[in-house]
Amino acid sequence: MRIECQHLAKLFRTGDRNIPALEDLTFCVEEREFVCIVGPSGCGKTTLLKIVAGLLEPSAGRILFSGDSNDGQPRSALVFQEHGLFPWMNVIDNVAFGLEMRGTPAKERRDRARVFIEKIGLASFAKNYPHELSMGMRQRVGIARAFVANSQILLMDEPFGSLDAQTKRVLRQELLRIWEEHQKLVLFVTHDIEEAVLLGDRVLVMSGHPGRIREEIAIPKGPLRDLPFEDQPELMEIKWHIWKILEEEVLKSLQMPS
Amino acid sequence: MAYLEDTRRRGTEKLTNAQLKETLYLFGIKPEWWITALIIIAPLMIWEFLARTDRISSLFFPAPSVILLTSIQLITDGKLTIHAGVTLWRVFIGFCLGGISGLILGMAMGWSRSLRIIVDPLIAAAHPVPKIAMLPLIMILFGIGESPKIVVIAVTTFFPMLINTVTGVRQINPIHFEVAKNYGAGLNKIFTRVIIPGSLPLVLTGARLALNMGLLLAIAVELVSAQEGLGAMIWLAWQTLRTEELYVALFVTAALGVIFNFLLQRMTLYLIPWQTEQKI
Repeated sequence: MRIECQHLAKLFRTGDRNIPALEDLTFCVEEREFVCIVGPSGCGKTTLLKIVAGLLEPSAGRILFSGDSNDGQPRSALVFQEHGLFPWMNVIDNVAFGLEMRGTPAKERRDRARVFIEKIGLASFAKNYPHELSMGMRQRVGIARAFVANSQILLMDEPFGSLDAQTKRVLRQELLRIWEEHQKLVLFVTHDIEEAVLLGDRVLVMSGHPGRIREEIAIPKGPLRDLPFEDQPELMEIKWHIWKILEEEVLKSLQMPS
Repeated sequence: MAYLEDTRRRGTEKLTNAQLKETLYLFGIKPEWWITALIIIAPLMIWEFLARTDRISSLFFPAPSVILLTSIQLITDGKLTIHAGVTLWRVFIGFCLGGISGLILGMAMGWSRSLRIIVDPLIAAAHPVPKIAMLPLIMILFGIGESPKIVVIAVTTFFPMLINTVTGVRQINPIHFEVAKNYGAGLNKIFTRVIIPGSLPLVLTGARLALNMGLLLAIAVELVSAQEGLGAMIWLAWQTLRTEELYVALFVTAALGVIFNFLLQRMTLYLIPWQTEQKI
């Protein structure tokens, strides 16, 4: 599976004004690639993900998905920032939701969900409801749900945004481990530059108002992907470079009358 | 040192509090309930004393023991059971008709914006009208007998059910719809897996309000025009100055309200295990 976005644009209509959220976005994501998108807040990162997920229609341009296996499973699974889990379903039903929508029989989907629940270390919480879990656990459930759905594209919208530093670190490693095992295409939106550089094969840096792609940066990856950030000096340099770009963008957006 | 002293003292205080609580936990009853019981029992005893010593008129305030005896007698000769049964039956049928149509229209209005825009002004206009005031008109339309009474109760239960259902559907976080769509849910699945469970807490609150108001209106309608039912019993007791029967009917009505609330709260706990605190 490969995604090709050609001249994507999105306008939002508020009253009689058209507000451009995205403008002329062109990029590709290759099969099994982990691509991170960073940008200042309000640059349309989430809008972009929703367009790729098929929840929003682009105002112009198009997305091509090639290598579609078309066996009835949804093309993409979206992991939300928070509140993505259904509060009225327990962990196992939440994780099995994608399978349920595809009509997988109850027993089979529970079994398959259970495998992933064990992988994320929540085996003893399978029957609990989301409100009984910590934020970190809920995010893990959200990730498991996306993986169980077994779609070829994983879209993540700041999945670790609201977590504390330690939990974030552990979950990133967990995500990389599961990703390496299942080899999916991942499009990962974040405002955390360090996270983007650490996780991505490639980072797309966006500018704001309207959202455009400022720069594409390939990240050199050693064989040990989940080394701590501090042990990878070349990543520090890239982080600094991206920060320079974003600083300019943030300053620009602060000066701009809204 | 002073700090240590302080914490130690606080520690012992807590212990005595705990001990006190434990002694109050007699027969597995919450200590707070003892206070509730006291608040109910003490005035009754004062009342009994005052009535027996003729300090208050026993014609208007018959002693609680007399009321109790009357109620036992009314139960054994079947009168009370019939009256209460008739009232309950009216509330039940009225709630089934009004509550269920409120639920269905509420779901539809929660889902469809245009339907909401069309129907909302009508609801806003009809909702505040006291439903008992509509009884004569409804009697013109539905004749005398059972149907106008049931219609009034149905109309009464319709509104709280409708309004709570609409709010219940509307307050579902849009993210849940997006997640469902993202995983390929069709309209059917969105309805059964998102809209129904998402609105259920408020729907049940609506049902509770509807039942309470249904009971209220059933009594009111029976006061005005009925031969049977708790309201009719109250009115008849008043006209024939059988005050003990009046009190019996009042207590039974109050008890029905308490039972409705208790049952619905139990149902809520059972149906909504994902909500720790009840939003009621």
